[in-house]
Amino acid sequence: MKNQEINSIVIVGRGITAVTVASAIAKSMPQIKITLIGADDEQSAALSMLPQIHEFHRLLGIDEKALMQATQATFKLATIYQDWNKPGHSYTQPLGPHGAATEFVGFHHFATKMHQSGDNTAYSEYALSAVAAENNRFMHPQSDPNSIFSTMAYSLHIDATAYKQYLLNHVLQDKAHFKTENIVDVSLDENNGFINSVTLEKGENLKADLFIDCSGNAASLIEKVMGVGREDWSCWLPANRVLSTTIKSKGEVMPYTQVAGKTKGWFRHVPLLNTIVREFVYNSDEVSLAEAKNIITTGLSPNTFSEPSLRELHSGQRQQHWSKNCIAFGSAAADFEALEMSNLQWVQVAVQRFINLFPDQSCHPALVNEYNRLTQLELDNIRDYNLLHYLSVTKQESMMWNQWRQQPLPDSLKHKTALFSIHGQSASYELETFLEGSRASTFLGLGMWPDKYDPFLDSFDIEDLKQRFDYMRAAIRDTVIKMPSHRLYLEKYCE
Amino acid sequence: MIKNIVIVGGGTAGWMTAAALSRHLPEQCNVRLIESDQIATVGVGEATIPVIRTFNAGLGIDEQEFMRETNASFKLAIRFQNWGEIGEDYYHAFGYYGFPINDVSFHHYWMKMQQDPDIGGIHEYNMPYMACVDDKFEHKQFDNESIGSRYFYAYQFDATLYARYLRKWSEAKGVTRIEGKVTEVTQNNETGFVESVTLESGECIEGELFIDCSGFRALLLEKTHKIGYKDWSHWLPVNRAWAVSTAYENEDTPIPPYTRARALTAGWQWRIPLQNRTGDGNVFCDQYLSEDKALDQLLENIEGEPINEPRLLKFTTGKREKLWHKNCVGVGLSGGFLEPLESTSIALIQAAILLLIRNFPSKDFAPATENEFNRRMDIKYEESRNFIMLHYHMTRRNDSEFWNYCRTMKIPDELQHRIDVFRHSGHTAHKNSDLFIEHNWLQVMLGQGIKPDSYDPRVDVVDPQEVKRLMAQMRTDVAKAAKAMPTHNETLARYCAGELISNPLSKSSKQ
Repeated sequence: MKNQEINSIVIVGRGITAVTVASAIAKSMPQIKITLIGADDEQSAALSMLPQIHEFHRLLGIDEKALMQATQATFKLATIYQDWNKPGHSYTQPLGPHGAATEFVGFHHFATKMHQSGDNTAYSEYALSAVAAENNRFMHPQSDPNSIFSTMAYSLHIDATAYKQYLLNHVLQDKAHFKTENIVDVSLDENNGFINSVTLEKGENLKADLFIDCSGNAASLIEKVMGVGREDWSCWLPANRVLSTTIKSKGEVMPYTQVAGKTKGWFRHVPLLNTIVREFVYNSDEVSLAEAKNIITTGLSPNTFSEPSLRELHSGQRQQHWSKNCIAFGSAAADFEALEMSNLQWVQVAVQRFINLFPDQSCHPALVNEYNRLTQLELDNIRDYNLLHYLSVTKQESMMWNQWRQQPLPDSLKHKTALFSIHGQSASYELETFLEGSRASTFLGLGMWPDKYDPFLDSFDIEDLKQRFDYMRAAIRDTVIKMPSHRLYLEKYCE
Repeated sequence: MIKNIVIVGGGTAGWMTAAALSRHLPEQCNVRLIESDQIATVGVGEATIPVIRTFNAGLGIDEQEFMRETNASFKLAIRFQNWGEIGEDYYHAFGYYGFPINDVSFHHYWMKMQQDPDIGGIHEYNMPYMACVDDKFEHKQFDNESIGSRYFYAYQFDATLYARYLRKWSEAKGVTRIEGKVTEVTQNNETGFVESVTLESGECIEGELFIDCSGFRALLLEKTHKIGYKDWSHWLPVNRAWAVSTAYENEDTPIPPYTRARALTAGWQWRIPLQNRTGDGNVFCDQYLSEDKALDQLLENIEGEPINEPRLLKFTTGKREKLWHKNCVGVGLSGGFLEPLESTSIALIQAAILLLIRNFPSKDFAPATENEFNRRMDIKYEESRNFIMLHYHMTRRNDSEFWNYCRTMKIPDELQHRIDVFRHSGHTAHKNSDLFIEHNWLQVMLGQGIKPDSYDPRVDVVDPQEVKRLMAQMRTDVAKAAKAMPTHNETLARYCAGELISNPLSKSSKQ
């Protein structure tokens, strides 16, 4: 009953994206011969992940403790935005939920009612993950729903090079072949346009049933061979350069990613055990490389940071991520600066989807369409979530932001924003990476309070609500005080 | 906040809306429902899908009392006879096939191994399916860890009694029922918003939010607001139904824990077993079968004796262009009607009520709220329509013009895509609609005879002997659990027996 199975795969690229994709496929289908070719030209960076990483690790049989011991990874409870929408303002976007869930009315409605009655408490004070993050504390969540620790959620910060090495040593092992040469020629099937083989620099010809493009912005197969174009998002996501440097750090370890607004662009700080990776995200029309280097090193003592390295950002996604027997992952497929997550997080989710729809040699169009449809929807939603953050930026002195303000928003985002701003309601779309609670928390964190709260709360007594809110805040504070510091916890956990 | 809500029309939709609003709205809100005893409701016997339990639980309804008062029975499945081909028979059961192995759905292993004589039919790995085969039922809490408790259930009940039950419940909660017929609707000159409705008696009822539960007449959405109707007859061609009730032969006649849908020449016949009688009906398309012949067909195919005069219902399958317009929201038949094959009517009423509560408007009726409601109801209606169409389209029957039409009709791209994905991989395409999820689509696609030409390649990674061992264990566990269950009749008698209703037409009562 079966068609011809996929027996061999060639992956173009040897960076973290390629190794992630290869590891996941090798783990699920060890019978397939996988060959990774070309250069590792992806620059190492620190990864800031979402809780979805736990499922990926479960599938790959990765033990968190062993991984953390080997890679000096740290825990992530939140993203803290500093000076983002206006100087001096900060808010915390936790990975775990706020307050106590009710069946029909989201917690943010209660907070809106409190806010309208003059309460100015930060919304994040009602999320354990946020308060723990702000206080540099960490403990693992507990599954017992009666424990306050069940409201914690976390992810990891990992050094990309170390993570890649870990996957190579513990998951991929000898299940893949590696070739360092580049491709010089590609041969296509005359009838159906499928890729038959690639020829390497020294003349070796590699045939495969499936070709995976992890070549980064070069997009050497999906674009250069298959001719698939890009949907350009640069009008919406105007930053096009990321400059990064690794800074030595001692003492407390932040259990959060920090995004700090600058006059032109922003910093992202991802903490590792003894270093912090700083990225400066900007637009090259506005900031020269020399100026960017100046900005990223301002205030740093000499010899405490590495030579800044530059990466180009081409915001957008492929019109088709998968075409015939060629599929792309990583920045060959979609490139974006997603504030709260690294592109690799999306790669992990996408490769799981691909494995769930794994084709035979015919790569039937129905499967290809299904994969492309879901992946594009998911990325549209991620893009909208990013744009949501941009909506609040009030800076007038930046060319990038001033130009951005003139762009019409995507219809889906207009609808989501309109619905929220009226009475805090949430538009429901398929495949949201950032769920309703995260979106509401972003709106409130950025000061975009809805005009009204859910009408069902009209009858709630405000004094009673205040008491409950006080109680909740106190319970969270008391819990956090008893938690160990992030560094202490890491040292014990990774002993 | 909106304080005055007027529901135009009773019936299942009207009283479900009244009950849910009175439960969830603050006390100062005033919910009034206008209905007329002179207008019959459409509700015949009604079969439901498991989400109904969420609705009842949300109201805090006592299950035993509700079942007693509505003559309800339990429902584990719909049994489809003669759909793929005459003589074929399968159940769409409210539960899963087996457990996943190594994160891959069970059916992929079965598809690989099915030729092996030790493997058996895929239904043998489905708990509610096996319970149905022997007319068994026990209501357990869903437990994903135990194969014997890994199922959901719904009810089959008398919709008129359900409406009556909810009326009593709603009135106790402060809902005002107003007897009367609406003769006039008054709109605001500038905004077009409905301000009031006037009854035959001359009484004028003002409101801020109007819920149109007036059934096919769509008094507010169509008559007042002229919202058009998307006719889906070319996709769901049935347009008539004869309905009748029949008596059980005696107290020991087995009451199946499922609704039966038997395909006939120009549609299909339902049999919905309640505690004290069955509801039967022939759903057909009058282009292919005359009303008289359809009635004959119905009466030939019933099992018990009729206890009332058969009634004819006429309908056009489709959906209103928008269910929410200005300050009017359509719930129930005013918003659209698919057909009863997969018991979607009450589920769609429930979905609309829930969405209304989640997106409850304030007095300014912001367009974004209306848009969100309409956008999401569109998805739910279209998903349900596609799911129902799957049964008609994926047939090999060529014994009548009706089936030839259904088999060869052009179907919506989205449905074609789903079929193609399944046929070429055994996977069910992903879509966020809570009405029908993966296992529902899977059972109907397999049941209608689609044979995927591939299975998940990860299946080959697991040692076949280990797979066989695991499958044998699951099959034994299902058989054991089904065997240990009491019959549906026993469970009903113990749990919620209603009062026996004497049959006005039966020989004994006539004597």
